[in-house]
Amino acid sequence: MNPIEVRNLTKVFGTKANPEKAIDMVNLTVKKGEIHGLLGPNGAGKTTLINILSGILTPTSGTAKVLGKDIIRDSFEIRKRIGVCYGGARFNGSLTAKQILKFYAYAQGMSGQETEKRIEELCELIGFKSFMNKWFMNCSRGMQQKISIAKSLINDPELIFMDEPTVGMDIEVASMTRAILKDLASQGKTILLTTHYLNEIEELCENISMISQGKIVVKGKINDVKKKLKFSDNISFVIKRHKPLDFLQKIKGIKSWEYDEGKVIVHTNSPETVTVPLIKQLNRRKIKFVDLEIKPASLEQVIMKVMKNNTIPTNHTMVKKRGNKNA
Amino acid sequence: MLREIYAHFYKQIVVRMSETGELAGTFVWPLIGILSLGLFGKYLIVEGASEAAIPMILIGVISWNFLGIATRAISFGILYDLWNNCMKHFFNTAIKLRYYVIGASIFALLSGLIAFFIVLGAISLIFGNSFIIINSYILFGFFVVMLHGIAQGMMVTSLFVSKGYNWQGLSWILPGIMMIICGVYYPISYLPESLQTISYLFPSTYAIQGMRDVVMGSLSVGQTNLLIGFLVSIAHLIFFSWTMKKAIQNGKKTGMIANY
Repeated sequence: MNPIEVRNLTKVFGTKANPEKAIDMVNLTVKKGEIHGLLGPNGAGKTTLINILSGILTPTSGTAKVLGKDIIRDSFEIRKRIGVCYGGARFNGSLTAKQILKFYAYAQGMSGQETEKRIEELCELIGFKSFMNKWFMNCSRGMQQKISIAKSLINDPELIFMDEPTVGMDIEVASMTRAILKDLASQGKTILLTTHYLNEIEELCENISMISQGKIVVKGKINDVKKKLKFSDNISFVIKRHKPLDFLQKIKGIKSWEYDEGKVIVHTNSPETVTVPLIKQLNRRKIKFVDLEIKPASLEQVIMKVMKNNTIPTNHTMVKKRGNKNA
Repeated sequence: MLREIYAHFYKQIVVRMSETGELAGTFVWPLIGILSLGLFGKYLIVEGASEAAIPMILIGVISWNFLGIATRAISFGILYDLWNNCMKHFFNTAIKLRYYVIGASIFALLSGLIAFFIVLGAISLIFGNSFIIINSYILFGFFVVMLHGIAQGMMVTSLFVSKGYNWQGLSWILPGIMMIICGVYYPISYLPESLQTISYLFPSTYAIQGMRDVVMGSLSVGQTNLLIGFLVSIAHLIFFSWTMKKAIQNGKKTGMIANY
């Protein structure tokens, strides 16, 4: 049983006359003990998906199982076993961290003793002892976010939804949060993580799903996604004077290329075999170049491409077109 | 089950304790009511009104107090979260609505009783003990009024959970509207006929009239009114529990809950 199984999930807001699809036929599977990265620009549907899976939004159609239970029929049972943490933490400002955690612990049936013990554990794990009795509204953003993380873990959940948990945090707290997430995953807990920080995704997640305009446009292991999208490597260099570059297409191993104000980026799966013929061709055509670099494709680059097209780009579609137009 | 109920009682306590104004308001408003209206009643007696005016007014003030406390306890438990933009935490946690309503109602009952005893003390000091007419029928009448307040709180909660922020104002306005319609300070026969018909829909109308009947010596009429009031309040509780459940479903469908 996978902790998250989503099939053809759709959520439509608005009126019948003016419907807005927030989630469009989403399919997603997240395995136990995995930190799964959900990526996408603002308004792509990431939070809507988390809201549906955590029981505060009902889908328009499709099915979803969380921890093997149906999200509509077994919503209460699911909520007992999950935790949710939102970025930009918000709680009742005139309550202390301890009071906030106590309320959510008691509300889920934990005894006074269990609650005290769990709060102590979370204090150790997250480090909020020093401001445990401070009013939430008087806490810094980092402190507030720590409280939000603690709240999401108060019931020792099997599955945790983390919706941009490090947003607005300083480097130290963000790094600590990532360490906590790794630790939780190593304990067998499953985490669905949304974030705008791609380094976070690259550091924490093995699998990712990219969502754009409510649709999952690409998913899989980060490296597979890069390969699948033919974004394995780039060779970039700068030419001083513009000359026709159509010959690049004829070099074996070059998938596509781009030209922008003197900078040429060549996309290839095998830079080691392409670099030498490329330099030879440039020299033969007396094209002076500087700053030649070989770079692996970054996740950011992949995302930018995917989001721009809202589809999985194929080899000679958009990239080649742009190259021809500009060159 | 007791832990879950206690959670909501605990939340009401810690939130009220941290907001001095809110805590004081729970007990100060009944005192203001009893002093201003009680003294007004005394003035009316001097001007020739019946001595019964004071107990009538006192019953009205205490009833209205119970109604307001219960309405606010039920609605504020979630309204605090709405104001602080953390309502989604309430609904993504495994919370059963019935435990929420029971926990908040216990808080309403206890704070209502504290306010009640404060008011009794004030009456005794200012008007003398002769005006305090407390028996099991009167206490039962206050209980029915409180049940009405709980149902009303569920109705207000239903509105802001499904329709949003703008409906929160009903938490304060509705007890005032009920004060007029249910004849808190006068028999409903003084209302225009159309309003009289509407007033029969609310349990407090019967409960307050029943308490008045008991004070005036018409015990059997009073008992009947109290019983009808109780049955109507149960009907209200059932209906508004259903309404609240539907409103939450609607809030989850429209995204209203996820917005806060």
